[in-house]
Amino acid sequence: MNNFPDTADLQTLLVACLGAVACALGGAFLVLRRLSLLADAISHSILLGIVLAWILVRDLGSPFLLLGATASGVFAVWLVEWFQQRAGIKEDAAMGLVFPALFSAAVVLISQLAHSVHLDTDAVINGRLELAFLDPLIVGNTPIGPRSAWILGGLVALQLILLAIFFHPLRIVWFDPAFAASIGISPVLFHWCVTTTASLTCVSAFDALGSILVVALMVGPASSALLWARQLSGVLVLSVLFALVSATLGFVTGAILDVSLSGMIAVCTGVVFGISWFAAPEDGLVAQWARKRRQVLEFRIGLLLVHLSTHEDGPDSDEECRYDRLTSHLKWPETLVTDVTSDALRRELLIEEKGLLRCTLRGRDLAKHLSTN
Amino acid sequence: MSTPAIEIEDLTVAYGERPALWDIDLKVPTGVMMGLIGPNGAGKSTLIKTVMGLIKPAAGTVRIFGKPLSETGSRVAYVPQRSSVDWDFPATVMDVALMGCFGRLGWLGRPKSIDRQTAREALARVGISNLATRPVHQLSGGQQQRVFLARALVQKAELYLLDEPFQGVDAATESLILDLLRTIRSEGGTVVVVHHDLQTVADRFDQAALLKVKLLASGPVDEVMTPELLQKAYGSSGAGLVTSRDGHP
Amino acid sequence: MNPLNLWEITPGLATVVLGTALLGLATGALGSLAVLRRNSLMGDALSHAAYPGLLAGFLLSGTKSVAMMVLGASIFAALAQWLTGLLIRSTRVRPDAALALVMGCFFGFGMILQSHLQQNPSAAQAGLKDYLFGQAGLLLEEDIALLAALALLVLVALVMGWSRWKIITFDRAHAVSLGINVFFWDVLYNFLFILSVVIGLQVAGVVLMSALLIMPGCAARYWTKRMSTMVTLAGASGAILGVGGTFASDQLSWPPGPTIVLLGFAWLIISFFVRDIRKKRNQYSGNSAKISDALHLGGVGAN
Repeated sequence: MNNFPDTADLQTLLVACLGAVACALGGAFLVLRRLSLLADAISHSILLGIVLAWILVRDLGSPFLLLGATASGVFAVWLVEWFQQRAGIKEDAAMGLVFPALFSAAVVLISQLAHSVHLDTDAVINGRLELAFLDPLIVGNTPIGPRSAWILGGLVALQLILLAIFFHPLRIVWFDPAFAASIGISPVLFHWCVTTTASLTCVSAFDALGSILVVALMVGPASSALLWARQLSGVLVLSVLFALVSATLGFVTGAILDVSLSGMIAVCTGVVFGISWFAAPEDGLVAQWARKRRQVLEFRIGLLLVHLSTHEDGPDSDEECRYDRLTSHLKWPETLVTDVTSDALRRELLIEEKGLLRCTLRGRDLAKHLSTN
Repeated sequence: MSTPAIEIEDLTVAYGERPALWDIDLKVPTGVMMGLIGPNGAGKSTLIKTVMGLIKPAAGTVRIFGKPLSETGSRVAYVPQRSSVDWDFPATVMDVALMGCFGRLGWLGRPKSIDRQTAREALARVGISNLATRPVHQLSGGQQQRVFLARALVQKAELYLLDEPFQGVDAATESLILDLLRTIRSEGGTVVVVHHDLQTVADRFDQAALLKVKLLASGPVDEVMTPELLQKAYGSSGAGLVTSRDGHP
Repeated sequence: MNPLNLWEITPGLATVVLGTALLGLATGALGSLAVLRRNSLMGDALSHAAYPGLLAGFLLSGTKSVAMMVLGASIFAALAQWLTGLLIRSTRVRPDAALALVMGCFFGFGMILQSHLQQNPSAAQAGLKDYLFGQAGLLLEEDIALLAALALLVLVALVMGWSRWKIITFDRAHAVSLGINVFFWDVLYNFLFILSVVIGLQVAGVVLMSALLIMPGCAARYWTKRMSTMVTLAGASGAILGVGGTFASDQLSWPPGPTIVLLGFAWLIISFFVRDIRKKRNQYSGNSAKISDALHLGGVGAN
C-alpha cells in the first residue's frame, strides 16, 4: 500500500531532515543579520494568523491558514520595526513585547473558540513530529508520503531556487546594505524577502517540529557553521550539513530512548554547536588555548625585551635590568622570570653580564619591531 | 619632591593577544595640565582606562597619589567619551550631575541639600543651570559634555582624567571646558586629557605625553612636540605639521 | 445596584488577584532595569531555560514540591545565563544568537523530560503542563507567601541600592571610577532576575513571562524623564495590570496570563499615543525653550 517510504520511522526522519534543512537555510540569513531572535518572535506570532484565517474560512485544512500564518509572521517583524523606529523602543525590548502580545491574542481567541475548533496550543510549542506520518498527502487514492514532507520539501526547493537566483545580490546586501543601495540593489526589498521566507519556513515547519525546535534549527546550525566557515557559501553548506546531522542524531537517540523527538533534535543542535565550539579551527576552545599558550610566551619574551631595551642605556639600568630585580619590576613570579629569561637566552635574544641582562642585536631589533607595530 | 599624581611603572596592556600598550613608564606631577597625544590606535584611551582600573594590565603598576587606585576613593574623576553611554536614559541633567557625589555617600546614602547645592554650583560653572530639569536625551553634544564635566566637578576630585572632551563639541563649549580645566589646575588640581588635535596642543597644555603603543616622550610641551618625535609617532605628516607651526607661530 | 456584586470576589479569586499583583509589582520594577540595560530578552531566554529545571525538580522530588521545582528551575536558569555570557565573551557568536541557541537547547531538554513524564503518568503531575502557559487560576495561599517574599526582596534591593542601580545602569565606567563594586550589584541583579522569572513561571508561563518584565517598563518610559519615576511607575502599573487582568479574565472567562499581557500591550499603546500627543503639543514650547538656551549660552543651544 505504502510504496514510497515504507516505514513510519523513515517517513518521520524524512520530515525531520527536510524541516531541518529548510530552517537552517532561512535561519542562516537571520543569524548573519543578528536577527536570530526574530525566529523566536515569528514562530510565536504565527498562531494568531492561523486562528484569524480559521475564523474566516472555518477549515483547518485550508491553505489560507498557511497564508494567514505567514502574513502574521511578517506582521510581527513589521511591528517590531515600528516599535523600534517610531516608538523609540530598543530592539530587544521591541521583540520581547511583540510576540507575547500576538501569542496572547491567539491564545485568548482559541480559548473562546474552543468548542468549535481543535487547535492545541501545546502542540504549537512542542510540535507533533511523531505523528507526522499519520497525515499522508493523497493523490487520487494513493497516499504518497507525509503531507509535511511534501510541504517542507517544496519549501526547501523554493529556497534553493531563490538562493540560486539571488545569491550574489543577497551577499552584497547582507555584507554592506549602504553599498548595495548605491549600486541599485534595494536592501529593504531583500530584507522583506528574507523575512517573508523565514516566516514561511516557520509556518511550514512548526506544525511538525514545534516552534522551539524551529528556533533551535534556525539558529543552532548557522551559529555552528559560522565558527568553521568564513564565506557565505561555506556557511550555508555547513548549516545544512549540521542541521541534517542534528536531525538524524536527534531522531535516532530520541527513538532509542523513546522521548520527544523535537526536544532531542533541539538538544542535538546544541551538541553540534558544543563540538564546534570545542574543535573549530580558529575560534574553537582547543585552538584558542593552544594559540594562547604559544603567544603568552612570545608576548612575555617581547615584554622582557622591550623593557630591557627601554632601560639598558638609561640611568636606571642597574636597577631595571638586574636579573634578580625583574620579579618586582615586571610583577612576575620568580619561576616565570626564570622560564622566560632562559628561553630568551637560549634563542640568543639576550645575554647576561654580571647579573645584568642586555639585549643582543637580534633582541633589540625584535623589541623595536614589537614596539613600533 | 612631592608625590606625583599618577605614577605608571612598566605598564603593559594587551587586548586578547595584541599589545595595546608596551612597557609604559610615566609620571604625571601634581598641578599640571597634561595632554595625552598620539595617532589613532596608539592606546590613549586604553591608558586612561587602565589608570581608572577599567582594564586590567598584563604587567606593571599604577599608583595614584602614591597609592593603588582602590585606596584613592573619589579623588579621581573620570570623564568618559560622550558616546560611551546611552543618552536615551531617563534622567535629568541634575540627576546626572548628582551621580558625582555617590562615591562619597556610600550605598545607603541619599544626596543631601548640600550635595544638591554643590551640583547646582557645578551646573552653573559649566553654564547650564537653566537646563537642570531637562531630560538628558534632549541635549546637544556640547551640552552632554558639559553635564559630564559637571558630574566630575561634583565629585570634588584632585585628579581629572578626560577622554576626548573636545570631540564634536561647539566652539563655545570648547573654550568653556578649557577655561574650567585651567581653573582646576590653578586651584591645585591635576588634569590629564586625551587629545588628538596636534595643532592645539601647545596652546592648551603645559605638559604632554606622546604615545604610540610605547611612550615616545613625556614632559613640557615644547620638549615633546619636536619634529623628530612627531615624525616617529605620526610619520612624515606629523613632522610637517610642526614645521609649518614653527614657520607661522 | 452595588457594582461590587458584579465581581463576586470569592476567596479564591482574591488570592489570585493578590498573587498577580505582587508578581506584577516585582517584575515590573525589576524589568524596567532590564529594559534600560538592554537585556530585555534575557527574561524570555531564562523562562524557557528554567522549564527543564522545573520538571527535573519534580522528577527528583516525585511531588509538586514548590521548593524543589523553584530550586531546579533556578539552577537551570543560572546555568543558561552563565552559558550565554560565556558564549558572548569567548566566541564570535552574537548575543542574539547566543540567547536563541541556549534557549532552544534548554527548552528542548525540557521537552524530553516532559515526554518522559507523560509516559509515566502519575496523579501528581497533573497541572505540570500549566507552566508552559501559566495558570494564575491555580495560585494557592502558600504561593502568595512566596510571591510576597519576592516582591519585598525586589523592592528592598531596589530602594536600598538605588543610587548604585542608577549609576551602574547609566554609566558603568563611571561607577567603577567611583569605586563601586559593580560585580556585586551585577550578581544581585541576576539573582533577583532569575528568582522573578522562576517564581513568575507559575503565573505567566514560559511564553508570556518576558512580557510581564518588559511591558510595564517600556510603557512607564513614555511618561517620565526620570529613572526613579520610571521604576516606580513600572512596578505600580505591573501590579495594576495584574489586578485588572485577573478581574477581566474572570469576567470574560479568558485565560488569565494572556489577558494580563493583552491589557499590558493596550496600556503600552495608550502610553505611546499619549506621549505622542503631548510631544506634538509641546513642540512649540520646546522650540521657545531652545531659543532661550541659545540666548543664555551664547549660541550653544542651537548646536
